[in-house]
Amino acid sequence: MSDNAHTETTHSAAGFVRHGAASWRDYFTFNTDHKVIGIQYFVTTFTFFLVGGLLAMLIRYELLTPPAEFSTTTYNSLFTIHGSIMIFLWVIPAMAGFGNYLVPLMIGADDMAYPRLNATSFWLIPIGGLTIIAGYFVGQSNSGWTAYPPLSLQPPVGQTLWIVGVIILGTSSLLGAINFLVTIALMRAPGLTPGRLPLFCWAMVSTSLMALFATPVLTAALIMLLLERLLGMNFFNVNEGGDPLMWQHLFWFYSHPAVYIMVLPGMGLVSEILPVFSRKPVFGYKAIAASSMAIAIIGFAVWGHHMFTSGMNPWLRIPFMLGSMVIAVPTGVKIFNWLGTIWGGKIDLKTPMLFALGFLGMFTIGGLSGVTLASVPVDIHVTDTYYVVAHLHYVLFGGSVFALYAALYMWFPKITGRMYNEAWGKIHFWLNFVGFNLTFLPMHWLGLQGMPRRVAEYAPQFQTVNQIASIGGFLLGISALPFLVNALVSWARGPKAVDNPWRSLTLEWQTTSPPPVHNFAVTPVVTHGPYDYGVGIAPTGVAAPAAAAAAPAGD
Amino acid sequence: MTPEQLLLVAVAAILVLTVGLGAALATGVYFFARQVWQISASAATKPTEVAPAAKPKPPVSPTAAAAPPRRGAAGLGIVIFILAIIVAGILAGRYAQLMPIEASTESGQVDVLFNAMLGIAVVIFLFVEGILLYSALRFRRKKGDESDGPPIHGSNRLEVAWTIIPAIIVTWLAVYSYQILIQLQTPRRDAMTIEVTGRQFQWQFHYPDSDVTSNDLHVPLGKPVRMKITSQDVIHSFWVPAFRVKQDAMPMRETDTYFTADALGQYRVVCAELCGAGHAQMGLTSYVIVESQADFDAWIARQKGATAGAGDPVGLFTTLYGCAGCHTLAAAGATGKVGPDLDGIGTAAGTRVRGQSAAAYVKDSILNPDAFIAPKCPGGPCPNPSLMPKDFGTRISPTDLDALVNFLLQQK
Repeated sequence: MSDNAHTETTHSAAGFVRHGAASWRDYFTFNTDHKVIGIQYFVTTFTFFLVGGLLAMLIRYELLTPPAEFSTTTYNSLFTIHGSIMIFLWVIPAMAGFGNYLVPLMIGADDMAYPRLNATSFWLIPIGGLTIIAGYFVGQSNSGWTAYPPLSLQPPVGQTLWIVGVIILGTSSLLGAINFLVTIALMRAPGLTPGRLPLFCWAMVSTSLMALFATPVLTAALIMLLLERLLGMNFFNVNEGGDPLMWQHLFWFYSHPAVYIMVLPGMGLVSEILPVFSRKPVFGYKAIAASSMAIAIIGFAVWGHHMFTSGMNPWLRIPFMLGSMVIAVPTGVKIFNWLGTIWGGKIDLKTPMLFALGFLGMFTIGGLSGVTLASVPVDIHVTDTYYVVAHLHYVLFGGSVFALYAALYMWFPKITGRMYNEAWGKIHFWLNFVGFNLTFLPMHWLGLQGMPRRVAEYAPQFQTVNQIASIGGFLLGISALPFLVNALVSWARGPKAVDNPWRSLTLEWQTTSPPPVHNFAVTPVVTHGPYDYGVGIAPTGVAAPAAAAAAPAGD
Repeated sequence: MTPEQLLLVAVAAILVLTVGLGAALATGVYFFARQVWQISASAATKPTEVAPAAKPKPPVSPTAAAAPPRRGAAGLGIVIFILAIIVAGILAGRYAQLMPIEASTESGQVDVLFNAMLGIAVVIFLFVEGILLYSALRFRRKKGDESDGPPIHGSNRLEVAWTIIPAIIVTWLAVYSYQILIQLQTPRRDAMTIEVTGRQFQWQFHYPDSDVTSNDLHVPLGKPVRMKITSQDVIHSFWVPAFRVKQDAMPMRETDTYFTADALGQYRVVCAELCGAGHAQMGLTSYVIVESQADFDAWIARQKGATAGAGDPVGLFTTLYGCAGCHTLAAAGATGKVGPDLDGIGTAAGTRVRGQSAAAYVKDSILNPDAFIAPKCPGGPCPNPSLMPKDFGTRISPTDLDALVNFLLQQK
């Protein structure tokens, strides 16, 4: 991290508050620099991703053979904590990490609107995460990440810790949403009109709006569950006038929008990467931005499709089916516009582009299986089966995680000032791609054929296909190693990167890599769109000498 | 469905369909007309106006220069590609068999719907992945080429097309799904009612007409059945994959679902909603047996004679009180793996609590399970508090309790 030596640390009056990082120790402080916070997010969430991945491999180990190896209670805890970590401690906060690092740079601001709130958002993550994991010592929660009562009202103390942890993490996400909205609304550089806003920022606007309106509902539901567990308030107890269905409505009112909270920023990241590596303007800029907003609105009218067999009013299933079908349209608009972006371009298959194209290909499968799940008669058969497990992993792994990997490679030189190793990046992509499909594609068949989800034991007829999925799962686990080694070694001693190695036109590349504490020496004035390739606009910082001239204080 | 609801759905469907179809038709006609016009125009002008066609744009890049002559070939390629993926979609929709065996009249309807969606999904999948792969191979940057691609910012016609076409497809799918759904959820007048209760961790079926209780579900072939579904504790979900029927079992509440079995055989009854430690077992130990009306009647008659009561402790253990959902006991053929193994309990019972007789211990363990936590459960040490229901005191009759205690004491 000697690359950050040219940044300076400032101490505020409050003593423990710092801004900027001069040494690695500053990354362990309550730091208000959005770039430091971004890196704190990346390292923390990726660590949780590795933990969640190890749990997933234990799950795949258990499923190698039909009978149970672990106790079923242990197994139930495994997938409960796997799901909770991947959703609340990896995908959602990792996307927020990119929002933190990139949004101020992309809009030409010197930081987020509320730096201390921003640092608070980050520090809630490890606190919430450790609270959930602490359940391991007192009886881990084992009612799934959905925590349906009455099951979630039964004993383990870890369930209470899980509820408290998720409340803390939801609060972090909520504070972040407010910060992003205010920052993007008020802190754009001169000339950065809404029509020139990078699509990732548009995605963060729609994501933040969803988080802002959905998260409080989850928090309220969690507090009710907590009060019922601790004080016996019976909100969800039928015998005492409560209703377990109410939990499902409140939970999915948040958790379906949460799917879009997890994938919209990924779509934004991919919308940044495709034009740069195709050397073409993004196709249908307005359509992509508008479809994000459409998804943010329609996304609030589809939650009932998680409850088609729950026993809610059967006719209510029809409007929810319509909503869930219709939301495929703006999603399709994005996919077709991305195809339009790469069509006829000058495609450079660097690692970020490979992952972005992988996202495009895999997310499409998740979208298509999503339409089949929206259809009530088919959903009745496949809900709560491995078909749903396959679908959600194509959306959240094939979608969100591929986008996160693409972005980690894309902005690696921006964040560290060094280049990653391209060959190892490609090896990582192909291992990841093969492992991913080997794991999750066969699960569609398992679900259709009758294997329910969340079981440690299964019928012998499913063994072969489960073993294929397990082998894929282990390959997927191994595929994280080349990334980890590549990232760590390149960060420490990779070749120095020029300021703008990808010759990108977006604002974050028009400053040094890594950027100085206040991002831009002079407030930039924006005179063109973020993707105006092909009309002779020269990106700055593409050659080494220019980089040295632009950052005289550097190194 | 009330008339108002029907009207609402009909109006919405008609609106969406007319707007969607109208727009699609107009777009289609427009594109077709353009294409025809372009083909005839180029056919008419090409031989005479070769020079002007090449003149307007000097060859800035090799692709621009190569584009005009390739246009016809590219168009043909796209037509062949689209035709090929449509054929692939039709073949997939027609011949793919991803669903399990069909054993109810409902399953055929659901499978036709699923395969229709599969066919459409295959077309869209091949379209997207085809364009993706073609682009990644065909439009590669040449080494050392630092120039940009063409500054194309979009196309309103394409935006309209790829908004309207998917909108029509999903609207059609919604209408089609609705038609199937309405058949699935319409009550059948002549249906036989069977009650099913989910409990940790066993299904219990009850035939109200004959007051027979069973762990397996017997249904007569071709007879419409209404399942009245409820739960004793947490949420379970009654699922028969071969029937394509699933409905959650909610505590203290009744839900229902209908099916008509149309293939003799034995199929699994699965619990599809996570219900605790024995969730997987609950989906592996229960079956639906489809038999002829005569066999069914004979089975009911046999069960009536042997309905679980004080004279049939095995029935009490396995069926009436659901002990077998959690406990293993060879004498009852029970293989539950949640609570302690009860083989040999007659010997062990006297050694558990100092000063308590074996009989008193067994009785106390049923009525007051947490008074003494057994040392060993199949998954490790038994949890405290235990998972055993605490309400047997309110729902077990004294004679049944005595019979059960005596039966357990004989398990030396």
